[in-house]
Amino acid sequence: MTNIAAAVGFLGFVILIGILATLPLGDRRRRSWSTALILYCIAATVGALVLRRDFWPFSSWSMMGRVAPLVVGDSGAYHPSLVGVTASGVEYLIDYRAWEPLNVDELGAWLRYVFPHLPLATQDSVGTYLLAEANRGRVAVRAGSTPGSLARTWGPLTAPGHLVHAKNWTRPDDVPAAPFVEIRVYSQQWDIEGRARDPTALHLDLVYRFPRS
Amino acid sequence: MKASVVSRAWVRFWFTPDSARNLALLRILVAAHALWILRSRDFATGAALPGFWAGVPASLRWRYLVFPGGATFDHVWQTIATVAVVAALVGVYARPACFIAGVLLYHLAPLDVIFWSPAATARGLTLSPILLLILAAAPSGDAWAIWPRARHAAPAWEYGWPRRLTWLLIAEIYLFAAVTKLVQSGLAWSSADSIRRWLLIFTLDASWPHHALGRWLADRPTLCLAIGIGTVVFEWTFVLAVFSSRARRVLVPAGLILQTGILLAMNIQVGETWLILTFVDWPALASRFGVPYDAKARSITVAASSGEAASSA
Repeated sequence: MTNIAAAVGFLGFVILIGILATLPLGDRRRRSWSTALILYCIAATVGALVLRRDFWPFSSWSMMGRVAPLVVGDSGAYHPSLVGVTASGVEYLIDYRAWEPLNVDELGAWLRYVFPHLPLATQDSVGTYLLAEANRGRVAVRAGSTPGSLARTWGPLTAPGHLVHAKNWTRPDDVPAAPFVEIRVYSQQWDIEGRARDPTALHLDLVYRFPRS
Repeated sequence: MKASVVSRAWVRFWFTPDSARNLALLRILVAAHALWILRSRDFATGAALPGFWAGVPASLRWRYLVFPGGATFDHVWQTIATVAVVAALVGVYARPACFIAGVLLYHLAPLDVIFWSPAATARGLTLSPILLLILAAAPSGDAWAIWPRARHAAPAWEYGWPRRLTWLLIAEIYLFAAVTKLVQSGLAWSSADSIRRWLLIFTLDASWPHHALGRWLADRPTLCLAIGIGTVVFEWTFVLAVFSSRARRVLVPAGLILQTGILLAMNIQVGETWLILTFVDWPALASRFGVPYDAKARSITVAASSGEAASSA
């Protein structure tokens, strides 16, 4: 229902724009249609807020409204962690740029909310893709290049995503010479005050590995 | 009587004449922002990835006109969107360019997220489709345009309301975020403990680039409380910047400091909020550095803010 309402809402907005942009209106009627457009925008955005629905691009902007949780990993503040594993069993945290054009946070949210409900064959086709991308990034870094593709235009001025991540792979030595043979997805859980005292105090659950055996 | 007063106030606020250059400057800023985000993403390639789109419901696909097998076209749409945004920026058929860019960004921007979320809020391009379409409806190509050549346009009411509507839509980011905090958490959101934990969540892990400022602040309860209260006060009051040039002088720099602070202390950024730069009084800034801009536009802009312009125009 929200999807239909949002689509109709945007269509109505485009129609109003079309009227103002193309019809030969006199000054008085142009002002009336401009008023209609202003009211439409206010109604659409305030409506999104009041109804607590996101009629994107008419957004309710409901961001970070909750009190911070005590524990990370049992509420909305979920940090997935994706690692590549070499044949010798060593784990490497994958640089966020290796997943580009996917944003690592969108990928993490998708792995948490959608991925578990997919058929196993679909899950493994994604696993194949992730393993290939991790190795592609590894090869690029070993060759002295950077992983990822989104810095193609602006370089270091590339617009970050909603969350800003550290570049873990900056030198060839940051990645193994041998290829990753496995991808593991961990779910992190940690007590915030506990980890502030001891940085190693976190619990990792393996939620997916590819290949599975 | 009251209706008449409201009507007059409405007309005075929205339809006070403004300069064609101020509207053209808005077009340039909005297009530059959209280009920055657009060329920092690759929506089309993402849309073609295997497996990720299996769970997207049909209604969501229809909402954004995303269909199986459409990924090939998305590369074309992405290229056209880039060309259109550049044309809007430099002023080549500026209004049609704004329209094409606005419609295409409505289709493209959600491709980054809709495999798990129906809305691309806070990813940078939420306001761009709306603002570009508003600029298509308004005479935004009457100044600083390459082709058709900009004509000398006298100040008119058509140049004013798009800028004020843009400001209102940007102010809603903060205002709605404040309402959300109040509804979901009440006053507890601003508590020192809550702010401390937010700061720690986004700085304790090695995956974040900035650690020092967030952890330093987290260890100071008084500063955490001040941040909590200050953020909420800022979010509730920023809407004043839409109506008052004096408020803009305080709130716009405060907004830039807040955004930079959040970025450095919590590794979070909301790409849409950089549009706060559209509030800057660029004519005043230009004249301060000796750059000729448009003296008449400045006097009108300042007067409009204090509700005096209708007669001066």
